[in-house]
Amino acid sequence: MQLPAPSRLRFRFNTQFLVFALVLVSIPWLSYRFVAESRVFMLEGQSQAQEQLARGIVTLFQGRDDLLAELPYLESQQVVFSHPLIGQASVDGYTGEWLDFQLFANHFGAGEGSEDGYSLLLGEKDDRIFGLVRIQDDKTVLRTKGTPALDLSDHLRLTLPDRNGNERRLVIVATNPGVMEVWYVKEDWATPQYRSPSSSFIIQAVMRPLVDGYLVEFALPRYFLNQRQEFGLAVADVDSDDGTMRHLKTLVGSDTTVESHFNLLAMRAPEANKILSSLSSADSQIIIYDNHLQVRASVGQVSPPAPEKIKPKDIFERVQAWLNRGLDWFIAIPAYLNPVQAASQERDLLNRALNKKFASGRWHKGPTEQVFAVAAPISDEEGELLGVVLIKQSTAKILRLQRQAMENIALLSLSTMLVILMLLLLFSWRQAIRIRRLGKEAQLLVDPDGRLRTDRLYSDVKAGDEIGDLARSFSGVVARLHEHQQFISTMPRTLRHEVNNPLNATMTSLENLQLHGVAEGQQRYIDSAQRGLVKISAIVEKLADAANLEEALHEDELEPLDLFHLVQTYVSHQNPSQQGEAENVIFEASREALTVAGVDYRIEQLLDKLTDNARDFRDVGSAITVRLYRHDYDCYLEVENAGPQIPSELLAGMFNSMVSARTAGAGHAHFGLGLYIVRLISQFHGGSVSAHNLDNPSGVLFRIKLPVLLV
Amino acid sequence: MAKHIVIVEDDTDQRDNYQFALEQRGYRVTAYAGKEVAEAGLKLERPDLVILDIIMDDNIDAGFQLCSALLKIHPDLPVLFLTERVGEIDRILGLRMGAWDYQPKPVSLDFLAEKVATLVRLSDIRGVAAEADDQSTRDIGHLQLLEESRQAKWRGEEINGLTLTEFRMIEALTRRPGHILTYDTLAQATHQHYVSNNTISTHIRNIKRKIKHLDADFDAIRSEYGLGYRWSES
Repeated sequence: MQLPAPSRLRFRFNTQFLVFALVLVSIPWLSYRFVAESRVFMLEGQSQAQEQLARGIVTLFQGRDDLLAELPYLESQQVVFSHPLIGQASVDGYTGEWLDFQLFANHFGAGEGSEDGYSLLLGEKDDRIFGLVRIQDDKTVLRTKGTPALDLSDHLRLTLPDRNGNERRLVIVATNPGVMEVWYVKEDWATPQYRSPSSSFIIQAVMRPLVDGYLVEFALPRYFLNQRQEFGLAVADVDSDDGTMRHLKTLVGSDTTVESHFNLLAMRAPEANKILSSLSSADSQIIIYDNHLQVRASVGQVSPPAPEKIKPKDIFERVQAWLNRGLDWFIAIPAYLNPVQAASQERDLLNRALNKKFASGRWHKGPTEQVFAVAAPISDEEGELLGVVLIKQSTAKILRLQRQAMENIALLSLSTMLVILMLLLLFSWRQAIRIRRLGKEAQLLVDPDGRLRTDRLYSDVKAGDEIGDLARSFSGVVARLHEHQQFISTMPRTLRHEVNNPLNATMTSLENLQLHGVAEGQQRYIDSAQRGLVKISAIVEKLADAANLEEALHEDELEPLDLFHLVQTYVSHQNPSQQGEAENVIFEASREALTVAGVDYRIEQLLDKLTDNARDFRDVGSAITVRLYRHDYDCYLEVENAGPQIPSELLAGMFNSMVSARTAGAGHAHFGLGLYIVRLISQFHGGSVSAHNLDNPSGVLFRIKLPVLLV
Repeated sequence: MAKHIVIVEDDTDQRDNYQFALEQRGYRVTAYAGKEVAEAGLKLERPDLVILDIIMDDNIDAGFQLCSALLKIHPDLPVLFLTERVGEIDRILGLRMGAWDYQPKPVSLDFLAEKVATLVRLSDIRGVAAEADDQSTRDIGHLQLLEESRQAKWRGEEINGLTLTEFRMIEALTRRPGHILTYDTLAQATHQHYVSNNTISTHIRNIKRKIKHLDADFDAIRSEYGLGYRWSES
């Protein structure tokens, strides 16, 4: 039967799986696109809100020169501006909290051409004043512990007038890199009065060596300053030319004017600060600069402190960490500005605002953070520039939200995909097992001879799905086939039963007819009728015998049998007894005991069938060869004849019932049962039968293989 | 007085033919068309022989059931199964139930008549124990054939369950001990229209089995493979 050609559009399982996987993957991708678009929208909104805020602040400060002119500027005093420190300000010798203000550092030098000098940055955080002093010194001389004088090593001199007009003199000196000693000293700056306890948080100072000098970071409470917030700072550079004698080489003070040896610390304008504080919001910083670009008020901070990285503990956290890293890679914007470049951008915006222009810009502060900045000029009523407002806002919050959303989407997608994948795997595994079980059962349905062993399927016939439908359909087909097979197998017996009765009636009628006496010349017709009936009887008997053979073989008992003697006797009885006549059957065998477990008349029946078959197909006049030999633990009985070969299409099934190579009307009735009987008898003896075509000369050989009985 | 033969056969043609043939040979014949009527009739009178078909109408075991019922009433009644059910199991079942013999269809009426005569005679002989000892016998080596009662003895012991066909085959084999009897010759002994070599071999196997019950070393029936059998006591 020709199977229908498969459809040209063939979607194999792997193609279907690929399409399914693509659809599955597209879900998180679409979610990502949605989140990304939302981010753009939100950022745009944030940018616009920022501009509106800037314009609002400008309006608030418009004409309020009182707010920005509040600082008691004195022409005679050097003003050092204090910067609002953000984040975790700590006295540790590192400049992390100062990065945004490096461009605003005050520089002081020993004089024209001098290599010595320092830069000073002051800042405020809560109620403390912080200072960062970066000193250029080709040789740093540390204080030797126990030395009574304090002016024999590099040191900082801090002058703080109290609220009564008395000067307090402090020397900050290092014996080692790290925490510095803070001494109250007498007027000579060399004799210590008492030392501020190192454990105190009143005045802290830390020194860190640099390549070209050293760095001092210090902090002191704000209340140490008087109302005018005056202070004086000098850096003393002590050198030892010959290695033993130390002397003060240079002393560079911050009080660069003659009139006053105090500097003025310019703090943020309190009123302006108050106004700004009501406008503060998370992730944004509002700074008011005066027209000298000194910070007068500020509120908020651009980005919150980065959360500490916690080492992942369990597998779930580890997976989350990998996921985070993957997301960083996925959404990171590689080109971002370093702090110096960012400060330059900011300065650029401020300069444009100083030119009375509204300026805005954005830049990437870090891999996952963008900064929006708006600078707007503040003018007085005459249109004179009073200052500049700068609003910096980080997109960190939005990006953080986006990141959280992405994390959630990624986790959800991954979990969903894993669950779906697991379910799919489980499903396909179960289906595969069911199909394999069904296939195995289908294979076992048929015995090696092509007969059904059972009348139904047991696997999956109760299942309600398509495989169940398939199993039920197949089981139905098997049941029908089994019925058919039963019908075929019982058909000869049924036939005999159905034929024998009328046959018997006819034959007995003929006999009775003879008893009555028949007219002369009619007897031959009666004889002819009786011969025909005997032939019919023979045909029916043969069919029934073949059909009953399997059942009948169960009645037989295997006994030790000398196969050589049997075959030799059999062949000798096949040949004509008359001398001079050619042998019909030739026996070839080596004389050795060949005992098999067998039933002699069944082997004889087998030989009858094979030799009858060989006689029917041999070339005229040619002999049949019966060969018997042993190989290992088997003996082989071969019947060979010269003649036409068996068509190859018949070779495979020729030992089945009702298969014949004979053409119709070849004389005797043949039903293709002979070789079927040969196979049944061979198998009953634990052996097998095979047919082989021979070349040169053409012929056919049937080989029976039987196990030798080892006694 | 004519022997009374009862025939139970559902097929009218066959029944009539049997009846006619047997009546022609001097028997008084009563024919029944079914199990029930036969059972009713046979309760009233014991015949000399009953010929039973096995499959009657739709009952495939009607003959067996009737045989069983009759033998309960008349335990020594000779019963001959005449049927197309010639399978091995049927044969054994029929004989174990107490039937005297079993004849497959199609049957020769001559042979049926001869078999009926033999069975009636056997019944008569077996009914008179004294006569059995007087009957003519033939000894072939350790084998003794009791011609009238169609019985055989091996080494003085009766071979049990020997059917008429088997007795005839032994008789034929031993007629010329040492000589080969071809399958065709042996087929004539079965008095059937068509007998295959395989059927003859099956009869021989059954004979051997029955004698081997008495003598496990029995090997007097030699197979001349491809030709026939030979009686030859070593």
